[in-house]
Amino acid sequence: MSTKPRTILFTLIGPPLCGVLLACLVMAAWLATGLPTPAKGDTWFSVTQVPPIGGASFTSGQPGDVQFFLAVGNDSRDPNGVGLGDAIHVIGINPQARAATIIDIPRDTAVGGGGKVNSVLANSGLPQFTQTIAGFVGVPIRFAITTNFAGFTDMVDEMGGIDINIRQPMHDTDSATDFDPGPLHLNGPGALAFSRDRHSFAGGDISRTENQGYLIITALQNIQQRNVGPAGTLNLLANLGRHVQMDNVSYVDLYRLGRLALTIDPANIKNVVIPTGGGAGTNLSPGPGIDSLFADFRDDGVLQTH
Amino acid sequence: MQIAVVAVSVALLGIAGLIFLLQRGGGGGDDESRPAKKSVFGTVQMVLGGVQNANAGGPATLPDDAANQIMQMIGAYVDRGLVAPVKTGKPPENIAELFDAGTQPALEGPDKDILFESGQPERTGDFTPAAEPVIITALSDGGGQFVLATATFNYSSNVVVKGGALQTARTVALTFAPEGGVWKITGYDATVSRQGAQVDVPAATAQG
Repeated sequence: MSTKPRTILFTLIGPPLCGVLLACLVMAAWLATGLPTPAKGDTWFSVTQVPPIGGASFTSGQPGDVQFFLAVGNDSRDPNGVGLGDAIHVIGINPQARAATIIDIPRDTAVGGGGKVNSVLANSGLPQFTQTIAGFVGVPIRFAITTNFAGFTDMVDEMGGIDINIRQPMHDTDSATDFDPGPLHLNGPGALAFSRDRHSFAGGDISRTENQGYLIITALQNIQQRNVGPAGTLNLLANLGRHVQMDNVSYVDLYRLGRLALTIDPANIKNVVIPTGGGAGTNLSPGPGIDSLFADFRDDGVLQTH
Repeated sequence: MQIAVVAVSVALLGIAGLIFLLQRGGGGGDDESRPAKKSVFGTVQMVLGGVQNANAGGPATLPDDAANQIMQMIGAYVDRGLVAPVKTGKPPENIAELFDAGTQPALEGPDKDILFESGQPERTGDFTPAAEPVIITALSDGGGQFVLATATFNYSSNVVVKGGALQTARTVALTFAPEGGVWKITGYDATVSRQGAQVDVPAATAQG
C-alpha cells in the first residue's frame, strides 16, 4: 500500500454506495460548513477501491441496506506517513433505522493469535488491516479510512472546530489536554489531544478509545447543525475535492457519504468498547461476551441487547 | 292567458333544469363518486434562472447541452410528477426513468408523496401551477468534467377540490449525475406544504 501526503486513505470495498461514518463526517464537514477553500495542493485524502471482502451475503449494495465501515486514526507524525492504527472504530450504519453503532477496538487488542492489531496497519497497509478487522468482527467492511496527526488536525480546523461537552477532567501533559468538565470548543490540536489522552482516566486506553467514538458522534452533531443545503453541498464538495485523491471512487460516492452521515440521528448512535481480558505483556485478549456483541452488531448494525 | 303563463313557466323551469344538469357534467353522477371538472387545465414552463459552477479543478462551465438536458429532466419531473396527477386524478406515471438506480427505491417509499402529487384529492375545478426559475449548481472534477448538478426551484399550485381551494407549495432540490450519458436524479431534497381544503398533512420533507 502506498502512503499519501496527509493521508486519509479511504478504501472502498464493494459497490460504491455509502461510507464510513468518520468518512461521512469528513465529507459532511465540508458539505455543511461554508469555510474558506483550504490551501491549494494540500492533499488530505486518498480514496482507493479494493477487492470486496467476503461474507457480504446480507448486503446487496442498495442504499437502504446496512453498511459497515472502518475508521482508523494512525499515529504517524509525518504528514506523508501512515503509522500504527491506534484509534480503531468499526461503524455500522442502518439507513432505514437512521441509526448507527460504533464498535471501539483498543489498539492493544491481540487479533487472530498475533500481536497487537495496531501494527497491522503500519506493516501491511490499510487493505490488509481492513481484512483483519473485518475477519475479527465478522462483518463485511466496505469502506475504510485512516488519517494521521496532521490530517486530523487540519480536518478539524477546516470544519471550524468541534463543540463538545467534556465529561470528566482531562489534564495530561503527554497528550496536552488541559480540559475541565463542561462545554468546550476544540480546535484541531485540541481535538487531537482529546483523542490521545489515556492518562486522565482509570480505564486508560479503554476510556480513550471510548472517547474517540464520543468525539465522532459529537462531530456529527456539530456538522448537522451547520447544514448549508443541497446547492451549498456541491460548492463545498468542490472544496473538498481539491484535497482528496480518489482511486476508483467517484464524486457521487463522496456526495452520498456526506448525505448518509447527515441522515443519522446522533442520538441513535451507540458507542461501545469491546470487552477485553488479560493477555501477554500489553496485549489484550478479546474478553467474555465479545461473540454476543459482534452477533448483535452484525445483523443490522444496531445493538439491541448491548 | 293562464295556460300561456303556465307553459312559459314550465319551459323556463325545464331550461333551468337542463342548465343545472349540464353544469353538473351531464347529470347522473353524484358528488361523492364522480366530481365534475372544468376544462381549465394549468400549464407551467420551467425556466433556467442561472448556473453556478463549482469547480474542484480548474475553471469550467457547465456545457449548454448538459444544462438543457437537466432542464428537460426537470420539466419531465414537473409535468409527470406534479402537473399530470392533478389533471388526471391518477398517480404519476413514467417517472422511474428520471431517477438513477440508487434512487429507485425512494419512488416506492413514503418520500413519493412529498416528491410527487398523487392525484388526490381529486380536482373539481381550476388548476393553476406556477414555478420560479431553476438555479443549477454544477460540480466539475479535477479534470473539468461535470459530475454532479443540483437544480433548485420553487413550485406552487392552486387547485379547486371538493370543499374549496387547495394551495400547495414545494421547494425542490434535485441532484443529478450522469448515468450512461444521461443526467438522472441521484438525490433529492423536497419540502411540501399544503393549506386549504382536504389537507391531511400540512407539511413534510424528504431527503434521499
